[in-house]
Amino acid sequence: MAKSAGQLSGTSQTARSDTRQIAGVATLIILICLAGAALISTLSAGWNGDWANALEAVRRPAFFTAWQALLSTVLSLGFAIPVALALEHLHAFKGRQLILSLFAIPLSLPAIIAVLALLALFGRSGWVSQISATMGLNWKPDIYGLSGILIAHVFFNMPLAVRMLAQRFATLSPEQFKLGESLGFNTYERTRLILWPAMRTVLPGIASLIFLLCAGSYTIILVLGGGPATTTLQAAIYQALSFDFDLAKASLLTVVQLAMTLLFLTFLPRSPSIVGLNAHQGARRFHQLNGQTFVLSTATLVLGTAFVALPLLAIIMSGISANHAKLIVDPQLWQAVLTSTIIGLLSALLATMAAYALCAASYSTEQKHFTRMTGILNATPLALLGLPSLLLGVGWFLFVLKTGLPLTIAPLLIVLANTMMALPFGISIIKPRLFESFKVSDRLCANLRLKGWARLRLIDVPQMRGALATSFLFAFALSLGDLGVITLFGTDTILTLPSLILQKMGSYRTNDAAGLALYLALYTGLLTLLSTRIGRHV
Amino acid sequence: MYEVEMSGVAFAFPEMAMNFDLSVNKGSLSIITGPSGSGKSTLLNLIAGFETPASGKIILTGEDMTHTPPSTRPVAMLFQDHNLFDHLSVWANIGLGIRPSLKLTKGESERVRDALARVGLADKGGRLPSELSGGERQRAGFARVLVQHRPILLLDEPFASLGPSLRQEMTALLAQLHLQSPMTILAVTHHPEEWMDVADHFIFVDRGKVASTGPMHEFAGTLASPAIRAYLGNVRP
Repeated sequence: MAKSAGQLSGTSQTARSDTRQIAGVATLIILICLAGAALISTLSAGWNGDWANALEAVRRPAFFTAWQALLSTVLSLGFAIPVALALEHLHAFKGRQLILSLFAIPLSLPAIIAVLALLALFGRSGWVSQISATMGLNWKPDIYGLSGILIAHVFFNMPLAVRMLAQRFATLSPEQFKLGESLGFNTYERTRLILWPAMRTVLPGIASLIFLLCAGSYTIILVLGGGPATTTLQAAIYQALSFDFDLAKASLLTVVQLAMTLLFLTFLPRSPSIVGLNAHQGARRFHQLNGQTFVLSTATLVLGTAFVALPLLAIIMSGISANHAKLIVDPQLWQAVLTSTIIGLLSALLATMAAYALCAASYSTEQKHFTRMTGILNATPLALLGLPSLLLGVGWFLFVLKTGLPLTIAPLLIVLANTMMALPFGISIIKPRLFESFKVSDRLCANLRLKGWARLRLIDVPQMRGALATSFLFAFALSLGDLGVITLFGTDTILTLPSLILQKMGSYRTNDAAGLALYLALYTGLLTLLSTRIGRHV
Repeated sequence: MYEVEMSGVAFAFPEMAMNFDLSVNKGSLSIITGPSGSGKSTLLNLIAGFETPASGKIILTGEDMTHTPPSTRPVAMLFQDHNLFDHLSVWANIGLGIRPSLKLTKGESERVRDALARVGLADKGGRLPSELSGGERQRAGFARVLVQHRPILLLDEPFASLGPSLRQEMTALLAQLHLQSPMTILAVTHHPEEWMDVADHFIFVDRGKVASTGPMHEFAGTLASPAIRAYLGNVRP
């Protein structure tokens, strides 16, 4: 007897959903095993039960981690909110998209390059010092210590917050703005009644994300932190392993770092798309700007743009002055470019595939009302945000030492660490498009008995190609600049672009480091810009 | 006397150039109908001031308002959705129609109370929009229109997201409010058949132009133009 359309549809749907769930759960298990191996190796490595010493070792870095992360979050948001509002008030400004694109560059800019840029700006012989000397003031800013750390963190996180807020504003319905205009709202009322309620829903998520990123930052702290008083948990873990080889201390610091991370992760699901990569223009606005708002918004925007653009300009300026004729023929450079590219490509491919598998499984379990499973599928990748690559590196490094595996496994571990680091971003890019696409095509495909490879090739991949490309390029850019694992395994094991820069800085070849930083910044910057360009059309 | 006059109003989207000439009687209730993408909502947006014409004149209540911003036009507007701010109570949403700062005098608060009673929401002022049904949300929108005291009301498919019986109920409520507070009402709709007993004029928009206008009884039957007959197909209002 022939089956009814409903029966056919139901059967195909179930088969398809099961494949999705299996793929998603398998990905999840691999992720949990990888993270678990790192954590268990660290925790079991050297704990000696000495609580008194342990607390003493943890107290100061834990306090400073929380303090600097809190200050960085407040300052980043304090700066981002007026800039985002200014961008919103000047919605018709032609350069708006250009500014949002500029703000995307720090998202994947390697921390080591940002540090170099800030040194070129605020260092003892930086631009600010030179301008101050020219004016006869002879004032030299102190970039080392808390102030430098905060400037660097605001440089990274203010643009991130602006993009996320802009993305939230873009989702507001045009009717709300028409209504506001028809009711005669002025700028203050528009902000209070339309924009602020929208902002309020995402600010806790954005603040938690920034706090997490700043609590996990360590390249900036290592270079700009001025001693034990300005050491974070992450930097202390690195120091405990690299200088003291104190596994007990490293494992305890890891636990505290993880606890802090988990606490703040509880807010994260409320954040919008993590990187605001698809920050688009949104509906047309209809308000008339008064002179005061125009002047204030323009001034805020100029300030915000200068804050992000000047360090990028400093990278270019100091990079240009390097001896490129010498650098370009250096075989080390090409070896580093090749290694970085291979690591980046593999990490991006794995991260995008894993993100797709997890999103598809999440859609499938949500449709079947498997609430708990959906929750696990959604929360686990976000938890990875709290496991910076250094933590993974520490665990795997100890795992390698313990199991006697050769150190040549380092490239694989770097690829895996970068994959895990890029995964939450990939998910936030792929998920909205995948849900939208599956909602439309699932029943149609089931009805047409289109499944498996044929469906993937004919329907899913073509429909998702924009989101997949955005995720891939962004993950590629992120992976290019990571230093987390590599510093533990040593730069003689494997040479990437960031590790080569660190090597040059260590041997005081600052000019060469600046030249290489320019190459890396151009490489990651172009990938990010391409990614956001595609993302806008997703 | 005309309440809305448009002469040679040109506006262009990349895909279509539009040109509107229109006169609407004071106190009338007209529907604007026509095929999808013909320019109905654009016509409404031009009257409300959300779009600026490339050329031509828009005269409202006898004054040239071609370049007047939306907030100072004598126009109130209701949309299909998003007529209320979700975080504000129904009371506050209506109060916005009087004063966006929501600092209302005793007399103004009385006006809000009165408007709520007129739309049948006397006991629901303290609720949030999310606690109201679709029909109640549109009633709250009407209450705000009542306190705004604007002579022209524009409705952009206001009942499209409601079910048939609710649509009928809301159309009847609109007719009742129109009788009590005579305004000039222009309503975009894809269901002209539901307005036959309520509206007194139709405006048929086709390919960016007002193709025909007239009293409602001319809309259907033998008096309708071939374009209207083609648009209506087998539906007989």
